[in-house]
Amino acid sequence: MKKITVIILIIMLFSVFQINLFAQTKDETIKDYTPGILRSLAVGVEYRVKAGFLIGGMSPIPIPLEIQKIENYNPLFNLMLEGEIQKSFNPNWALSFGLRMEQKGMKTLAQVKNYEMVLIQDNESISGVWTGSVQTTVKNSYLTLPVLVVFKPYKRWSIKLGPYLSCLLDGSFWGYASDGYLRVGDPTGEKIEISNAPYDFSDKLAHWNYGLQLDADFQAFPHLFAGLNFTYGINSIFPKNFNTMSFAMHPIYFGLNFGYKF
Amino acid sequence: MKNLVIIFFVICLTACQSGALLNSEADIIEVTLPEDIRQFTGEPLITNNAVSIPETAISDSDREILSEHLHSLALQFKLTPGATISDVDTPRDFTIPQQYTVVSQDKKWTKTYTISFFTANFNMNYFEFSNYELVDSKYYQFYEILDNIRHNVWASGNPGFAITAATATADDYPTSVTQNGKSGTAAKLVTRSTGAWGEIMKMPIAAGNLFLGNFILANVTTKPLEATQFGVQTTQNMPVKLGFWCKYKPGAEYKNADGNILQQEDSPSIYAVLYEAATDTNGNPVKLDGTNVQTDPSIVCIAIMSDEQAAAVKVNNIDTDDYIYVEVPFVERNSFDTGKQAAGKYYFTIVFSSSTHGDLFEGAIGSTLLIDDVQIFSN
Repeated sequence: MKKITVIILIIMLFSVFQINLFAQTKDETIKDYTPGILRSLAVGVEYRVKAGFLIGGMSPIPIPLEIQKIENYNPLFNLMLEGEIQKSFNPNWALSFGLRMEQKGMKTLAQVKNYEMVLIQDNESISGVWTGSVQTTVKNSYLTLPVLVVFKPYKRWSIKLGPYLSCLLDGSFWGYASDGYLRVGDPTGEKIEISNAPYDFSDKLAHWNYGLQLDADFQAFPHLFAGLNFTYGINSIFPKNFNTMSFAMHPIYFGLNFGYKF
Repeated sequence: MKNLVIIFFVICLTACQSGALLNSEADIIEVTLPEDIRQFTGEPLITNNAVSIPETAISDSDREILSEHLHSLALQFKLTPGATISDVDTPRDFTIPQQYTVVSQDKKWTKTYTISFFTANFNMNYFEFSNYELVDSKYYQFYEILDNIRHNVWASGNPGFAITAATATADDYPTSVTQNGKSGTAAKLVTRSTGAWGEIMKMPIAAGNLFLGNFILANVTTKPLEATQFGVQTTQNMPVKLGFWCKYKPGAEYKNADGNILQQEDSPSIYAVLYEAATDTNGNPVKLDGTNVQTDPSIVCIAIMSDEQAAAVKVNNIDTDDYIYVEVPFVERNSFDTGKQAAGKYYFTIVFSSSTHGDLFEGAIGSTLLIDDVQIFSN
C-alpha cells in the first residue's frame, strides 16, 4: 500500500512540475493550448491539476460531553494532490470528477471523563470507563474519488458540491491513555489508576470512507486558480464492529489548494 | 480567507455540547468517625463496595467505651461529588455490619457498601491455611478464625490479577489453594503471566504472594509497591523464630520486566517483620509497604529466609516431593518495648512470594511455592 501511495504521489508531482515549466515558457495566448486541449475545450471538457494542504481532524459529531476538553491540537502537515476533469453543460453548470491523493492526520490531547471503551488484546478484553488524558496521533493516506456538481455563479468563481469515496492506502492511529483511572465494567466498578497505557488501533481502521465535499475555486488568472475545500466523512474511520471507542470518528477537513487549468 | 477557515474549524472542533457532564461514580471516598471514638480506631479500609474500620483499642475499658458507641453510631461520608447516600444521619448499630447505598449524581448508578468494624488486634502464632473462600467466584482468599471471630488478615495480589484475567479459573491465579498440603490444605503461590495487558503496562508477571495485611487495588499499576500494605496489629510477645513447611520449584525462564531472559534461577522469598507503626496526622497507624518493609527504622525485629535456605527447599517434583521444614531466627533491630506492646503499637507481618523480585515484575513464569503449617515462636 505504501508503495502505491508513493508512486501516485510521484506521478502527480511530476505532472504539476511539467505544467509549471510549460506555463513559464509560453505566453498566455491561444498558442499554449495543444490541439488535444482545444478539442476538449470545444466539447466543454477541461482538465485541472491542483496541490494543497489540509487541516482538520477525526472527531465525533457533536463532540460528546465525555470529551471534556481538547488541551492540545496539532493538525500535522497533510498534503493533497488532485487531477480533475470537468465537463460543462452550460455557462453555469458542470460536472467534475477527481482523483485525489490526500493525507488526513492530526495529533490531539484530550481530557475525557467516563469515556466508554472495550480494549481487546489477544483473547483477553477489558471493558470499562476511562477518566483522564487521551493522546491520539492519526496519519491516514487516502486515494479519493470525488464526483461534484459545479455551479458557476460568476465567471471567476465556481462552487462544487457532491459525494466522495476514499480508499485507505496507509493508516496509523495510535497514542496513549494517561494520568487517569479506569473503572472496570461500569462507573461503579473497581477503580484502577493508570499513569500511562499505550494503544495502537492502526490495523483496525476502516478501508473505505465516504462523505460530502464542498469546494470553492477562484480563477485568479486564465490558467491559475486557488481553491478552498471542505470534506465531511459520513462514516467513521473505524468499522461498525469496532467497539473500543463508543463514538463514530468522522474525518472533517478543510483544504487550501492552488491549481492549474489546461 | 484562510484565517476564516481555520477559525471556523476551531469553532467546530471545540463546539462541545454546553452543560456539564454529571458524575456517574458512586464512591465512598472517605469515612469520618465521631471524634470521641477516633482514638480507639484505625484508618477505615475502603474498597469498591466495603468499608472496614479497625478497632485498635486494646484495654478492656477502652473496648467497652468503643462498644457502647458502636451500638448507636452515625458516620460521616465523603462521596463522589454530587452523589448521595441513603439514611446517613440516623445512628445505626455497628456491632453488626451495616449497608449503605450510594447514588451517583446522574442518578444512573447505585452502589451498596457494607460497613463493618473489626477487631484489629490479631494474636495468632500458628497458621495452617485451612480457611479459605472464593471471592466473586474468581479467586481464593485465606482467612483465620480466632475465638470464633473471623479475621480477614491474609491478603494477596489476586484482586489485581483479576482485572487482566477475565477468563482465568481460581486455580490459574497467582495465589490459590492446594489440597496437597503438609497437613490438609496449603497455600499455593505461582508466578503467572499477566498476558498482553501486563506486557503493555510493563508488568509482565504476577508473582504469587500472600501476606498479613491488606492490598490496595487502585494503586496496582501506578504505585505497585504501595499496593501491599503489610502488617496487622499484635500484642504478642517478641517473636524469636519463624518455622514453616514448604517446597519450591523454579520456573524455566527467568525474565526481567522488559521481557528479556536473564541467566539466573528464580527463588522464593519468605520473611516476617515486627515493627512499630508510625501515626499519620489523624492519629491513624501507618503500615509499611513494599518500599520499606525490610528497611524501615521502625522495624523491631525481622526474620528473612536466607539464600541457602531458599536453595535447600527446591524440589524436582512439586506435586510428589516432600515438604521441607525451615526455621528462621528473628534478628533484633530495635529493643522490644513492653509498653508499646500493650498499647497496640506493634504490627506484624509474614510475607511469602513465589519470586524474590516479583515486586519488580522480575521472575520465572511457573515458579511455584507451596507453604503450610507456619509457626511463630515467641519469648
